[in-house]
Amino acid sequence: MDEQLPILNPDGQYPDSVNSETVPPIVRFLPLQKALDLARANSLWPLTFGIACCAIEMMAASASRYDTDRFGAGVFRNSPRQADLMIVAGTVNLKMAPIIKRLYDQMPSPKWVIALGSCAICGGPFEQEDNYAVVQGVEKIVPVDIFVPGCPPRPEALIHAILELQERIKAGTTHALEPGAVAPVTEQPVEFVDLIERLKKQAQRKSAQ
Amino acid sequence: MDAVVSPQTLHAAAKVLKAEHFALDAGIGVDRQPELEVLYLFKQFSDGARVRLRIRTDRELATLPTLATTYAGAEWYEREIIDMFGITFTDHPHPRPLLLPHYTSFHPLRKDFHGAPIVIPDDTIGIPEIDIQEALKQGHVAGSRSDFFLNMGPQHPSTHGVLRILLHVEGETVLGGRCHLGYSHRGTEKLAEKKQYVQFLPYTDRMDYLSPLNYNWGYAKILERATGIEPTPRAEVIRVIMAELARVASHLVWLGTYLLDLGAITPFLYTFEDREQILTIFERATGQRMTTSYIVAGGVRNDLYGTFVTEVSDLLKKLYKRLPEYEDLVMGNEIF
Repeated sequence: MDEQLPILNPDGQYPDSVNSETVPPIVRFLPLQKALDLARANSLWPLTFGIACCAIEMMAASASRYDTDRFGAGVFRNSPRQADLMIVAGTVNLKMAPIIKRLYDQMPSPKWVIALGSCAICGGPFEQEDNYAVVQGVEKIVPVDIFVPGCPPRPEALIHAILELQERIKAGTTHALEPGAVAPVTEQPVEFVDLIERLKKQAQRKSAQ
Repeated sequence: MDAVVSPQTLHAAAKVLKAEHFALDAGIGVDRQPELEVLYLFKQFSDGARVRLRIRTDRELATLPTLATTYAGAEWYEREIIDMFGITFTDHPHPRPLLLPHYTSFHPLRKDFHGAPIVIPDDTIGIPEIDIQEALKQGHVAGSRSDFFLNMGPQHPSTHGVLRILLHVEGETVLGGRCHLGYSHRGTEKLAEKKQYVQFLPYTDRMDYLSPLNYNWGYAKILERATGIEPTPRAEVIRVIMAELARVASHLVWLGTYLLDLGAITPFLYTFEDREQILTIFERATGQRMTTSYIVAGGVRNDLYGTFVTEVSDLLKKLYKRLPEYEDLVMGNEIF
């Protein structure tokens, strides 16, 4: 392994230049990691955490007809300390945002976030210029792995998101933090690029190829 | 009766109303540029008489006497007005924000307010300074007594939604509690100021997402009364059927989750399956499971589909059979 461990300061802290997210674990076993990822992907424990309308669809997804237990993701935990998947189901407002951050920090690593519904993605119908209450997307507070569009999304959409997340966990391509790492506090919120602009650029790139 | 009273005579007027057994229905702030107005609605339950009292204040001064000394229920309405209009109520027992965080300094429902940048501080939970001051005033100095403050919510399995209660407990006995609201405040009133009447309809779905059709109906009724539109008898019947189905679906959610709080998981699975059957009918009729926007001013958005009547009557027969089953499942359960 080429990665050099950063040298600790005399007070036992990493120097400021080292982002805690990029600090590699001291020991890493690849086959064991793969086995762990497989196990984790098939036993996602979501946090019981509903804010608005989407929470009802989340409950419907966990109930008898849709039954997320079939995919190992039906054990809703009431404490963030027992959960490893946060489904942000609803509108995040100014008063709720610090609490979501705190709940996310209380969850043990590795942990994943699904933004369920338009409000959690970008503010949804509450996005307007004289808005003062609604945070325009939970991505400004916590790192999000899967975005599920809809207002609210159908339970099938949530199931699809869980399956997609499982695939990504198995492939090791999620935002999950290594054990012990703390999410970096972003000073500047992530600004959304206009979706149409982004799609145009993508199309231009494709046509150039 | 609608009366504009001066701030000095508010208390005398309220005392007269109280002696006549009027209950306080609501307290509403209005920005009547340039003046600010507070509107109190009173209702007499015995014969349905209604009284409106309006008091007005200067925009710069924005100070009014409180009604909370006569009607204790006015406390929260006035706290909301403190948030939204920045009016100071003299002698108010707990003059602090109700819906907005305590560190904000804007007043959104004033007409000259045009949005504020969303700044999220690192950590604002914890016991607000004002509560600590109050505890100290009551003699609850740390270490001197066995009671303490405990935070419950807003993420708590039994709050169903986001309610935060600051509990005052002694051992396992709850001595008191102070509710903190506003964790799902979305500023819908402010958004409505910039929308056209028809554009606002989808927001009514999201106000009560468990029975959106009833909220659609309430909003459509207001528009109809204001514009003088009469819905057709057929539309009126469709509205009643759909709103009743929505009500049943809403009660099923209540039953399931209420028992879930008591530790019974099984009834939740049964009630949600029944609810799914109602939602299937909604989806066929309106195109959406929850946020229907189906009842519009003047009628309903589209007519019902062919097999609607047979499907609903089949479903109702099934639900009637379910009711004794639910009772048996809960009341007949030894654990319960």
